[in-house]
Parts: sequence; structure tokens; C-alpha cells
Amino acid sequence: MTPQAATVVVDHASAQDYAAASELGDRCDKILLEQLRAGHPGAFEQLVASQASRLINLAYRLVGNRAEAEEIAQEGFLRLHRSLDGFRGDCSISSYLYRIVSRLAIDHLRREKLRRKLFFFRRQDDEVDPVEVSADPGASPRDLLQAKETGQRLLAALDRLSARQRAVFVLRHQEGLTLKEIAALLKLQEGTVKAHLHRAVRALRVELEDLQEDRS
Amino acid sequence: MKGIGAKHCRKEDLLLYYYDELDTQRRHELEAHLNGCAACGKEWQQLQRTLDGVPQPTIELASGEAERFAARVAERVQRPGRGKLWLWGGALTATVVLALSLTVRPPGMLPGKGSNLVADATIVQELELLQNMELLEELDLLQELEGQG
Ligand SMILES: [Zn+2]
Repeated sequence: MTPQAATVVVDHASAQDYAAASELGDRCDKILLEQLRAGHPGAFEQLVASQASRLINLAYRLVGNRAEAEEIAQEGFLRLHRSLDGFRGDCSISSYLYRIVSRLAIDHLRREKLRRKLFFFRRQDDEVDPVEVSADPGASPRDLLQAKETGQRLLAALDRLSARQRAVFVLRHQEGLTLKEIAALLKLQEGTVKAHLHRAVRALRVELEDLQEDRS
Repeated sequence: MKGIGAKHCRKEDLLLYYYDELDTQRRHELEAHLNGCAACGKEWQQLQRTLDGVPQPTIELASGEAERFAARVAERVQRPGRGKLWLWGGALTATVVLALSLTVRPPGMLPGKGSNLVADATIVQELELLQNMELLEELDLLQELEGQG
């Protein structure tokens, strides 16, 4: 096992979470929707609390900044609330939220990129948030430090990708969505999604292989 | 030594193989080739090692944090208004317009210098893109998502 593999939990649980949440969502959504529409006290707040972690993490992986991620997740919930009346329930609330938050995050990324381009401003590596990574409970402080460093490098490398390349990589690699699901989500052809993924990985490999060579 | 005569694996295919996105036939062909080709085997292992090593940035919400977040969102429902990021988007457009007007007429410079025109045209296009993106956010995305609800 490489040191990275030992210290960083690369879990693909998100995909299962996503599927499980959707299935569970389908069953609970009807009741929840009725409660929400009836203005049941606390129903909306309860929904937000139960989905907050998943959506903040989704946005965080996409934009790489916690404050922005929380703002994006919040906007997603507000938009859900505003559209409750028109919600017919033929898609689950959790997949609706997943979709709106990814799109808001990607729009945000694209705007961010443009702002930097227009103002010749580039986010410095040290401006990237300190990375929180899930690590083995038994990992040594040194391993943890290395995991944080790798995480930092990853976010910096992701930052150099185009918004779409980044989104495709994060959704495929870290969120575990299939290319087909990503194509539907981003309204792109599957071939385009493949091309974005390929370019993203090619760019990331340069960064990350370098780092692994340093360690081995 | 089967597979040696066949073409080497394309990097794109190895990547799709990693994510289990190849169709069955292509997957079998690729596996057969990998078994017999040291060069592709090495490339595959390297790709696998890099991708397996990509960390999963995760925010662990401390106890009570999700509830506090939910309370903030619920409060925002009560007093509608745009969030910081979205307000800032409007301010950005205004700033870009200002920056653009400054760029178009730089003091002490003759207008119509070739390179500047090209640069200006790019900025105008990007400004349009920016506005389109805001429109998209406002109309397209909202309507379409609400329609799907
Ligand atoms: Zn080969």
C-alpha cells in the first residue's frame, strides 16, 4: 500500500449515499412535501438539517471553499422552498437538491474563473481552504499532515481546471456518478463529458504523480 | 504472449476502464491486452495508483452545526433577499462595465490600436458571457428546475 492509500480514505460511498438517499427520498417525500406545503412548523428546517452535510460537501468538492459551499447549499435550499408549490413529486427532493446545488456550484465556478481572468487575478495556492480529509482513525500525525498536503495540492490542481472539467472529475471520481448521469446533469453529450474527464485527469496526473514520486 | 500484436491501450480507454465505463466487449479486449503487454500494464498501474490516491476532501459538520445551518436557512426564508454571492454577482457586472469603459478609452492613448481592439473584443464577449450566465442562473435554471419538480 502506498502511504497515500493508507492515510486517505478514498471512499466511493457517495454514490451509494446518493442512490440510497434517492430511494429513501421517494418514499418519504410525499409525506414531507405535504408537511412542507401545509407549512408544518419545523418541517423545512428539519429537511435542511438532514441534507445539509451531503449538499455542503458536494458544493465544497466542486468549488473548494467552505464559505462559498455553504452559501451555494443555502441558495439551493431557498430555491427548493420557493418552488415547493410547483413541485409535483415526480423527482425526489434529494435528487432535486443534488441537481440544483451542482448547477449553482458550476455557475459559481464559471463566474469565479471569468472574474479572475478579467481582473488578471489568480487564487494563490495558500488561499485555498485548509483541506479536511477523512483519514484512517489510526493514522499518525505525520500521515495526517501528508494527507492534508495531498488534499491541498489536489484542490490547487483542481483550481487550474476549467469549471466543466473540474465538475466532471468531481462528480465522477468523488461523487461516484456515472458519465451518463453527469451528461444529464450538466446537459452535455456523453462524448463531451468523456473528453472533459480525460483532460481533467491528464492535468491532475501531472500534479499528483509528482507528489507521489516525492514520497516513494 | 497474446495481445502483443494488438494495438496498445488508449489512455482514454484505460481511464474509462478505471471508472467501469467501458462496454463489455471493449473491456474484455482491454483486459486481454493488459495481461500480455508490460508497457500497458505499467501505464495502467500508474493510473490506478494516482487515481486511488486522490483524496476525498470532506467537511465533517460538528455536532449541532447542521441544525444551526438549517436555522439560518429557515431564517432566510422569512426575510427573502439575495445571498452574499448572488449580490456580489450583480456588483461584479457593474465593476466589469466600469473596467470595460476604462479599457475602451485609456487616457493618453489613441483609440483604434489593433491589439487593443482585439483585447476589447474579447472582453466584450466575456462580458456578454457573464451576463448570459446571470440570465441563465435567473431564468433558465430556475424555470427548468421548477418545471421538473
Ligand atoms: Zn500494450
